[in-house]
Amino acid sequence: MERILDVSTLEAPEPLERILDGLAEMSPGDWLRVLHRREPYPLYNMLRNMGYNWSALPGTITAIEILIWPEGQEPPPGAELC
Amino acid sequence: MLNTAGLSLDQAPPVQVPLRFFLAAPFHLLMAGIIIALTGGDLGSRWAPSILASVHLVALGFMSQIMLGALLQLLPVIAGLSLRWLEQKSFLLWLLLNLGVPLMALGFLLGHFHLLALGASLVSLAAIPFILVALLGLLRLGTLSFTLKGIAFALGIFLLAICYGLFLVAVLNNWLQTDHLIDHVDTHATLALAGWLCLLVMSLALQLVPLFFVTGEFPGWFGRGVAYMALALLLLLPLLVMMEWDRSLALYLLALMALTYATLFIRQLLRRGRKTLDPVIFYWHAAAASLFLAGLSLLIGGQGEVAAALVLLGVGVVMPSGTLLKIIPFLSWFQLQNRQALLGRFVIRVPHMNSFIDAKSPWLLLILLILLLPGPILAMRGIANAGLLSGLLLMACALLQIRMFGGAYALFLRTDKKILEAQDSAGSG
Repeated sequence: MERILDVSTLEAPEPLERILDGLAEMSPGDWLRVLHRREPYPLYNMLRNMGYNWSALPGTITAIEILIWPEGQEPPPGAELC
Repeated sequence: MLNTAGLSLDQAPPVQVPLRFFLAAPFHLLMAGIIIALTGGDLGSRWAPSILASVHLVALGFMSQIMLGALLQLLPVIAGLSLRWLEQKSFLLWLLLNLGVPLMALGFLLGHFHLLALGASLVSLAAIPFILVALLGLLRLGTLSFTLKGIAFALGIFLLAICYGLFLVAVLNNWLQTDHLIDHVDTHATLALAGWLCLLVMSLALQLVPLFFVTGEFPGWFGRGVAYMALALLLLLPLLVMMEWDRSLALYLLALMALTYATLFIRQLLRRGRKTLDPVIFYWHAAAASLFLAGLSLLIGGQGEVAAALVLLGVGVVMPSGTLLKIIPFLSWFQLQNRQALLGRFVIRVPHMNSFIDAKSPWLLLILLILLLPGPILAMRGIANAGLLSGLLLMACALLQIRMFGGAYALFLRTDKKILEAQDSAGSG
């Protein structure tokens, strides 16, 4: 199931904190769609270490959307592996 | 615009490297507060030994110490600059700085200029290698952003201010002679306050304000022009002194720059999209207002001492104090998250950033700092007890910072220990 998290108006580094909170609350089979105003580069290394895949795409509501899902899980629709 | 593509947090040093500088800084503020409280009547005179001692404790022991610690963290992150040599030597540099500054203060207090020379030498041994390594690293990068150009120029001016300071120490020890001691002292102070402090703060704000407060960017024309203009004016000042020409025009132009920057800074802060109450934004407002008043007092009244006091306290103390309230929790939290990310997914829940410092203390510190700002000006006007009160306020600010920053570090250490224990039990399991 998709969980949507809009962090586009939050001040740094709150988006990073919210995204990690969002990941901690995901159930098996879930993925996270993060709506952001910029690419959260500091997040990516953490995701790699924690065993998550992600796909950053141009957004429709905000500048960028990042799909995040656990390794070993089917990629969500529209995801292009980074 | 912030180039997030250039952010490379992998290059950042361990959090202990900058934290060592941040945690030591308030102790210098405390020493300055004690000296001012004990010699309350001196605060109105810039030449009093206790004031010379306190000013150097604040400018070098507090403000510069925080700036150097912050640059150790920031330059690898925003410029991708490898400062491994400085990181490896950071404890030695920290030790030299923290021994040198109190020795300088003692030298001023006792009128013992050999001691002052020893202290200044230790500080120089800490600061000059730092500046040269950082500056050469930045120059090797080639094309620099507005922020990095400003940082490079500020570091260059800091080097000049230190050399000027060493020259003045030599004059006080009768190793060198000059007929223009006061002009040289004024230039040393202007380089340190306008060049090192204000130029660095301006350059960092171009990057940090839009990032922290989602305000949109500063106008491009300002970012492009500010560093070059400040550098040209600041390099002109010592030349004018040496040529024995009038420095007024250069000082007025610097004052105009301060007014323009402070106005843009306040406008930028008011554009903040989110309206939640964040104490740090008020620290930045107070710093910008102090800079505005400093520029105005220099431009209208030619009151250099008032301007210097406003810049030193308003920008040099208030601004770093506020910024550390964001930086210390962030760095601690970020390092803990990274450590725990290496363990896998969320073995230990890292405390939220806002739990590293309690909610009330930043507001209390802000009130104390705002009460402190007029202290030196009132003392200059001969108001009784302004010195004693300012000293006590400075002590209270320092003690509060020691409690807040020490508490944040203790929480970091406790959580770090839990993560290590989890790592050990996972390893043994």
